[in-house]
Amino acid sequence: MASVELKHLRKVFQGGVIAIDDLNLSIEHGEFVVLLGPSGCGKTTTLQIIAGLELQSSGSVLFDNVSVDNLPTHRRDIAMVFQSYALYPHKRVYDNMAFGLRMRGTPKPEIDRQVRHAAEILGIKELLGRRPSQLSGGQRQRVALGRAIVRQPRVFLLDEPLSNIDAKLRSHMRLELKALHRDLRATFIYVTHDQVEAMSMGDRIAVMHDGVLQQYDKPAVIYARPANLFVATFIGSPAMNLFEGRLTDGGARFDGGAFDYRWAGSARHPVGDGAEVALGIRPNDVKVSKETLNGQSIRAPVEFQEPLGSDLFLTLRVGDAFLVARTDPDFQVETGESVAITFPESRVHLFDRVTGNRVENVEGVAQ
Amino acid sequence: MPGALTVRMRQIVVYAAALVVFAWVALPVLWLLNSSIHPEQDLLRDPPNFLPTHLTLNYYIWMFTGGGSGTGQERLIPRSLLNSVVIASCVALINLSVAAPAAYALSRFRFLYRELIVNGLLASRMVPSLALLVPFYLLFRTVGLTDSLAGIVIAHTAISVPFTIWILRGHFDRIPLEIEKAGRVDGCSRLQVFRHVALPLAVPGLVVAGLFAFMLSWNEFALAVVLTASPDAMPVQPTLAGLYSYQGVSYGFLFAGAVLAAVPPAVIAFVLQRHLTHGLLEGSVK
Repeated sequence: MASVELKHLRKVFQGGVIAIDDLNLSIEHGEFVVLLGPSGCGKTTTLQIIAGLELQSSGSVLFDNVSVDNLPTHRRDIAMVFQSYALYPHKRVYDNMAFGLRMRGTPKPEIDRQVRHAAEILGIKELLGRRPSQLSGGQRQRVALGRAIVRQPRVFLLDEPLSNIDAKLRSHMRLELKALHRDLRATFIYVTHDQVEAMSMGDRIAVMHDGVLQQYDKPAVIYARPANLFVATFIGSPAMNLFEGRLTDGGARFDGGAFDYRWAGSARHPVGDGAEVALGIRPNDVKVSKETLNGQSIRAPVEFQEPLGSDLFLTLRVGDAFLVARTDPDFQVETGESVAITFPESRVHLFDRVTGNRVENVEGVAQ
Repeated sequence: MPGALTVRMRQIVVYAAALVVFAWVALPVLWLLNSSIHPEQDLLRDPPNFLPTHLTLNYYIWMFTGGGSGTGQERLIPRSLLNSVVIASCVALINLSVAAPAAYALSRFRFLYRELIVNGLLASRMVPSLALLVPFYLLFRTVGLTDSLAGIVIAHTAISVPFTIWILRGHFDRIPLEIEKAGRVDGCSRLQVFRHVALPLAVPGLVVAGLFAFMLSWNEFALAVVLTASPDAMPVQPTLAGLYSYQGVSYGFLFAGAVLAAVPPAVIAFVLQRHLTHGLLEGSVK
C-alpha cells in the first residue's frame, strides 16, 4: 500500500489538446479517492498516467514520496480495473487471475492460495474454470476485480468499473467495493462520471473539469460548499437552482430582478457593490409553505409537480426563471397555485459570475 | 399462407444457388479423382469410358514402385511431394516468425512513414511475379542458391511475407488496446505483452497467414521451375508439369500426381480450420 502524490501534472496530446493542466493531488495511504468529472475532463488520462500507461508531458507522480516517473507500468506494482474489464479472452477465469502472479514469479502453491482466496472474497469460486465469454457482465466485473486484488498491489486504479453493468447490480457492487476497500485497507483511486458513485464511495472526491482540478475534499464538503459554479451544478440531483443578479447595499443584498435576497446581520460579501453574481440554492434546501412566513419569502406559482414517492419536486416560476424545490410527498398543492418559498441563509450559495468562484459570506467586512 | 410460401421459395432458390456453387467447386476435383483411377486407355478411347468398369490404383502404386508405361518422370513425384512439404512448411513458419513481430510493430507503434510502409507492403503484391523471375534467377545464381531447397524457400518467403504482414496487422489492430494495457499492469514488459497476450489472441490471424503462405508456396510454379533443376530440390508443381513432355503425356500419372498434390494443403486446412473460428476476442471487453 502506498500514498500517491501528483505534482504539477500536465498532459498535452498531439495536436495541442490539453488533457490535464497543472494537477496537484495528494492521496493518503489507504484512502479511497474518486476522480469525478464529465467525459473528457482528463480523469481517465490522469489514471493512465498514474499507471504509467500514458506519459505525462510534465510534472511528477510519486508513490510513498518516491517518484515513479521512470518506472514502466509493469514495475509500478499497481492493479487496474478497466471500464471494459479487459479480461484475457483466451484464458480461463483462474488463469486470468493468476497471470499477474505468474508474471512476477510467485510460486505455484502461493498463486493457487491467492487466487482461491480472492475468488472466495468475490464469490466467484465456481466460475474459476470458465472462460470470459461464458460469464455475465457482473461476473466479468468480479473477475476483473479479482485479477486486481490477488496481487496485493501498492495502489488500486479503477476506471469506471461499474458503468457497464445494470443499475440494480451497480448499487450492489458499490457496497461490495466499499467493503473490499475496508477489508483490504488499500489505496483506491476510482474514476467515474457518476456523482452517486463518487458521493457514496469516496473518502475524498477530486472534481475535474477541462483538465483542471475544481475541488478536492470530502463528499459532504463538496456538496455543502461547492468551490465554484461548475462543482455546484455538477454535484447534486436535481441540480442546484441558480439565479443571476448583482450585489447591492455593500454586499448585503442580492438583486435578482424577480426577487431580492438580503443577508441578515452584518454579513457581507467581499466582491464589491454591483458585482455580477449568481445565487444558488439546492432544491432540498428551499422551504416551501402555503403561507407567507416572513419578509424574505417569495411567492411563486407551481408550474409542474413530480411526485417520486419519497419526495415531491415542484417546479416553480420565479420571474423568467424556474426553480425546483423538494417538499414532502404529502404537501397538497394545485398546479398553478402560488406557494411561498424561503431560502435558509446557511444554505444559500453565492458565486462570482466573472470567475465562477464561490464567494464566502464574511461577517462584518465593510465595503 | 403466401408468406410461408415465399419463405419456402426463397429457401429453394438459396439451396439451388448453393448447389451450383458447390458443383462449380467440387466437380473438377471429383472429375480429377475419377480420372486418376481409370486406366489411361479408357480415358483416351473414343468415346471415352468414364464409368467405373475397370477401376485401378496402379498409377498411384507405380509412382512409388516403378512400372507401367511411364517415362520415369513419375518416379520423381514422391520425392517432389516431400520437397514441397518441406518448402511450404518452412515458408509458412518463416513467414509467421518474421511477419508477426513486424505486423505487431506496424499495428501498435507510431513511427515515421508507418502508413506508407503498410501501403507499400500491399502495393508490392501488384508486381507480377513473372517480372521477378529473371532478377531472382540472376541473384540466386550469383550467391549459389539455385537448385536448392533453401533458395526456393527464400524466394517464396520473399514474395509472400508482405501480404502476411498485412493480414496479421489487421488482426493485431482488432485486439483491444485495453487487454494489452491489462497485461502491462499485470507485470508484462512490451515484449511479454506481445508473447503472452497479443500472439495468443492473434491465433486465427496466424492460421490464416500461415495457410496463405503455405498455399502460395505449394502452388507457385514459375519461380520453382526457374530456380530448381534437380529432383533433390524440385517441388511438386514443376515435377507434374514435367510429365507433359516431348516423350508424350502420361495422363494417368498426371491425374494421380495432381490428386496427391492436393492432399497436403487440404489436410492442413482441415486440421487448422478449428482455429479459424471467430469470436476468440469475445468476453474480453464489453
